[in-house]
Amino acid sequence: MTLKRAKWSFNAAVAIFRRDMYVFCKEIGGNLLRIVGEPLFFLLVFGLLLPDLNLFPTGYIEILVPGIVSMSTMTGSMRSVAAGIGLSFEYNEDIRAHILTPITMRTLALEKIICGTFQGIVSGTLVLAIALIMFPGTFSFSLLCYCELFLIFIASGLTFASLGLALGSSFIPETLFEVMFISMMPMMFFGATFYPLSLLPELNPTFFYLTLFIPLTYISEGTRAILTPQIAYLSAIYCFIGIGIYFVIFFSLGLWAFKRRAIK
Amino acid sequence: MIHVSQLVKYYNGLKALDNVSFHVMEGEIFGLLGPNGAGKTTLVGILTTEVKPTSGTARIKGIDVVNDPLAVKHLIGVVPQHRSLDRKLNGRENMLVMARAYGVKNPKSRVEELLALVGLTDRADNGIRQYSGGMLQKLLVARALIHDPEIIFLDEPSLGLDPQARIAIWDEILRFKDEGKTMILTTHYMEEADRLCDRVAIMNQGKIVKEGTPEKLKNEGIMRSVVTLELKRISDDVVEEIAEFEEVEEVQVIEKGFTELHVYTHNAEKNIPQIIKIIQRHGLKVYRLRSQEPSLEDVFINLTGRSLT
Repeated sequence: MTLKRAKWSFNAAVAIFRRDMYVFCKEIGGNLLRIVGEPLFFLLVFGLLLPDLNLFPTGYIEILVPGIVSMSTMTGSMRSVAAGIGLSFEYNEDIRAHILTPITMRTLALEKIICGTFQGIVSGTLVLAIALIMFPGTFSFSLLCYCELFLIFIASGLTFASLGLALGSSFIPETLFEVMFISMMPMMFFGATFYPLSLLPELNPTFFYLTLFIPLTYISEGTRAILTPQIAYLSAIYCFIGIGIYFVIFFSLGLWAFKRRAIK
Repeated sequence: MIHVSQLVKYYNGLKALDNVSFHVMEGEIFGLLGPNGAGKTTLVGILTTEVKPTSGTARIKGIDVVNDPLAVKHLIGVVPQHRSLDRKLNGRENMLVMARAYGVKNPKSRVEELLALVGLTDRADNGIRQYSGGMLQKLLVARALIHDPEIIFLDEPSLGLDPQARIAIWDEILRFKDEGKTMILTTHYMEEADRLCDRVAIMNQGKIVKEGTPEKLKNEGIMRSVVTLELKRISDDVVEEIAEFEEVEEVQVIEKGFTELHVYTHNAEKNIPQIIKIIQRHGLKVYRLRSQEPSLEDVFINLTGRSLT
């Protein structure tokens, strides 16, 4: 691709990204509710209510919060891209106008992934902030901590937005939401979200190996490595390697599916 | 300007385009005429880089649409059949996104210029959902012009519009022609093709069955009238008897819920009383009769054996 064509493609991507961000801000109320609502309920029930009722130990918050923050980066990025792409191809058709602009399909797919990543980062940051307010003094949190977490959020956003792209481009909306439910549920519950990986090798080795196959595990463990290193099983570097592998797989799948859907 | 050579497109084993070749000259309005499913939208899809051909080549200003889609997209403007407007944005915002995407200099002033051109300035801040069909079409036309393309593709530009809005869109198209733009227009309205196009290709079942100027198509080898009779039903005997007249070239039976008989004759004046006599002798009744010079629709029926609508 010549420099001129790269410039055309970049211009178009920036314009479409601006549009996506504008629409996100325009619908900020609904978006925040969608992003924060679900994790907030998990925090309230599992972090406040159940420990208050002495059904869960108070220390469980240290295990729960990194998991819920990770889960919110996943749902924030994956849902926004999958639903956006799926509905756009099938009903709104505004994506057809974007396809007709001088942009390569790879760049357009990347723009959608970056947009989803942004929503994942916003989601993770907001849920983390809420958790820090809800459970003051539980975590020793600093700006450096957030910078490290930010990298984890980016990795999570990129990976799950890519998966969202693959799903949104492959299924019609009628089946998309079922497929998303089927793919997200195991990740939410088996992705070391509600339990730390460190307890599994000894107590349930089968579950340990199963959990290692779930991409969210690497985000949950990465977040724990930063927020609660005493509980984390995997070091941040292993988490980045793990999520990196999944990113390559999901990105390739997403790109392939998007191209296939966009160009008939 | 546009050269299409032996284009073939299969969708899941079904042939949507069958060896299509044609060319369009600079400043020309080229019409693709045919019923739904004839392959017009697939053909435009290939030329606008949205569809990949199975085989064959298509070049726009010498640029291959498959090898360099970006350069092609920069050259063309598309008024698509699907109303791909962004429902989350208003009219002005829709235009502005496209202006930025095409790297237009002074995007805001270009947007205002085009909104004024299509008469939508006053409604530009309204949401897309509040637009009528005609307004949506005008906005799509304005959007296609945002980067001042040399070539414009109009896919069924007046589909679903009321007569007034249709005429307004036609006026816009004729204005682009005066500006020297090259246009490919797909339609299944005969009147639209007849009125706007310099040349027309008639498509049926993925093939171009005839190509030429509307006048040439109407007159080519058929200096004959078409006598159309509407009946409740008809028998083969009647058709055979009518076909035996020396002046009658062809008789076609079209089923439209009722029976329409098309009699292509070189002497309508002489044949009409004879035809009515035959029909009455068989105990049948003619509900409507008209005689006319050949139209593009007759050409289409003559070529494909079926009606457009």
